[in-house]
Amino acid sequence: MNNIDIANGIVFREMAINKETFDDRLICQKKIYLLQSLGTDLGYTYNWYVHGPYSPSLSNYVYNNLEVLESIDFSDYNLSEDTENNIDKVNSLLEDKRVDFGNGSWYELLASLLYIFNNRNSWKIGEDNNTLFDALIKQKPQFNREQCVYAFDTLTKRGFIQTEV
Amino acid sequence: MSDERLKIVKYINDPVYGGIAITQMELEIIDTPIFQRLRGLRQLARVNFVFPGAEHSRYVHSLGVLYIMGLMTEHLLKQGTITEDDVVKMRTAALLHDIGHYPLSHLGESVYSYCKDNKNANNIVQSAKKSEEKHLYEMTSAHTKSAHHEHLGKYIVIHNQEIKGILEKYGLVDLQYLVRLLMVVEDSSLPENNKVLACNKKGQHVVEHFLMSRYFHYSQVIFHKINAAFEGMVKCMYIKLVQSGNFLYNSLEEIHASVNNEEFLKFNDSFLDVSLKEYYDKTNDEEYKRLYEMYRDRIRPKVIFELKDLYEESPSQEFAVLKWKLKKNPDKITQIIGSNRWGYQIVPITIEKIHNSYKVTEKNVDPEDLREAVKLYDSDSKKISYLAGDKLSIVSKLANYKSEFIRIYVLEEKGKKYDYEKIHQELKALITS
Repeated sequence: MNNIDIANGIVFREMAINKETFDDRLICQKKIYLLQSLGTDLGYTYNWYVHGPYSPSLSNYVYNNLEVLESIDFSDYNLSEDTENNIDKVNSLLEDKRVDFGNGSWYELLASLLYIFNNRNSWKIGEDNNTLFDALIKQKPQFNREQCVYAFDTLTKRGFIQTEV
Repeated sequence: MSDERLKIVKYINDPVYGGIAITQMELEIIDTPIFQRLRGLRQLARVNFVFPGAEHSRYVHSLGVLYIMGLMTEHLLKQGTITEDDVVKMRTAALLHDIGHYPLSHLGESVYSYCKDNKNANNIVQSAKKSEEKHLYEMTSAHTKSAHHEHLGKYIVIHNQEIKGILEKYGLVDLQYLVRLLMVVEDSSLPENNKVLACNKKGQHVVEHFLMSRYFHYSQVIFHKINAAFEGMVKCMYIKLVQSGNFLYNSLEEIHASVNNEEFLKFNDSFLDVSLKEYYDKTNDEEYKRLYEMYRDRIRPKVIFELKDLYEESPSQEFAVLKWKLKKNPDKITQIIGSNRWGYQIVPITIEKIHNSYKVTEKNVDPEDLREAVKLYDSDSKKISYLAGDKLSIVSKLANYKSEFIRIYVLEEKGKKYDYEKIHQELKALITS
């Protein structure tokens, strides 16, 4: 098995990646986006789609390989310390989920906000965070401003967004 | 046409389409050296090893796509569903859609993807067993897309000063638009930018014909078994060249840094061929030398085992077992073949862009799962639906089917004798045991 499959296999396992329901697939897309934004590059490229950042190549890879990867014993391998830390950060975002979010919608909001923030030049987002929230709400009217502020603060607290002191 | 940018200034004679109409802006783009680079890239890589006529370039292909886009936009403009400004942008997108291709096209894309992802994977995974030395089957079987040509194309459109300058001169400052999907029908289920490309429901049979033709084109030409084996062999050699640091660019970062340099214009098939030969002359890598000799002399890898399946939910047991053995226990295959000079490919081909376990029904579809599926627009009811969800369509009966091949091939060593019948029997026994 090549290193790329091994890396994917262990990361998927530690992030509890699944593909059965639409929510599973949505969470998979958003978790991997958040992980890659921290510097753990699995090679998936993202564009904006209906539910925010979306990678067709990740979707194809998961459909074609997840069952095989789930059956493999990776005990001879470990993830690097940086990767472990980054996975912990993504997984721990669930601890900040409030009752007004489902698991899927929480990860959707976080990843979408971060995607717009990371691409703020092409999205014509100014320095004021309100323009970021406006852009997000325009795309996703199901979220309100207070939820956006909370998600932004969570991303900052967990180290996904660096703000100048 | 009231938009001056759509005024035709030239016709390019094309053997397939006849006269291809060109606007002033398109002419300026075509005349740039970075667009002319596409003349040196074969559309179908080394498919010409098997089908000798497959010699056309990305350059003529791009002109052909411009022609087709011209027909489509003319039709949509007459319908009033798009504006002249849309036509300018869509024609430009068609002309530039392959500007980011690598030497040997998709094969080169898979080489740079492999090199990037393998390096990253080495940083992600730690193991005492990890080795820098890769087997041929590891290189041939990795399917990654991180260096997709569309991403490099987008990078070039945004960063190449010449292309960017022409687009800005003609008012195309919204460059992001060029990489978005063609959109003509409003989909009320989407919040913003809610126009999607759809086909008039009355024309769905034409689309079905197209999808079936594409399926056979892929299964019979692109993934022809000898062609696929050749490509696996070339891919290994190309990866070794890039990883050795002896090609023009050895990473995506180097390519990005060079898109405004004259040097980038050399990044084509001919330069690759010269680099492959030069590296052959100086390297001590015996594996590379053998691969190069096979490439130079067109010695085909020997396809020793092939399994085909066409399934809806999950593959046959034999197929699933072989797939798992190849991924999980390649050492066993090496033992059976008696050599580690082998490769394999698992090739899935679908009629529609729908994952095979996904059921398209009116109630449960999500547009994100079906982003590449063909959409139909019924102009009477004003509703958008999926071709694969139309019970009267042939495609709906086949949409959930996936055709899949597994091929194992050997790159024969000089002077070594192989008992192919015994190998075949042992592989068969492996998957039926």
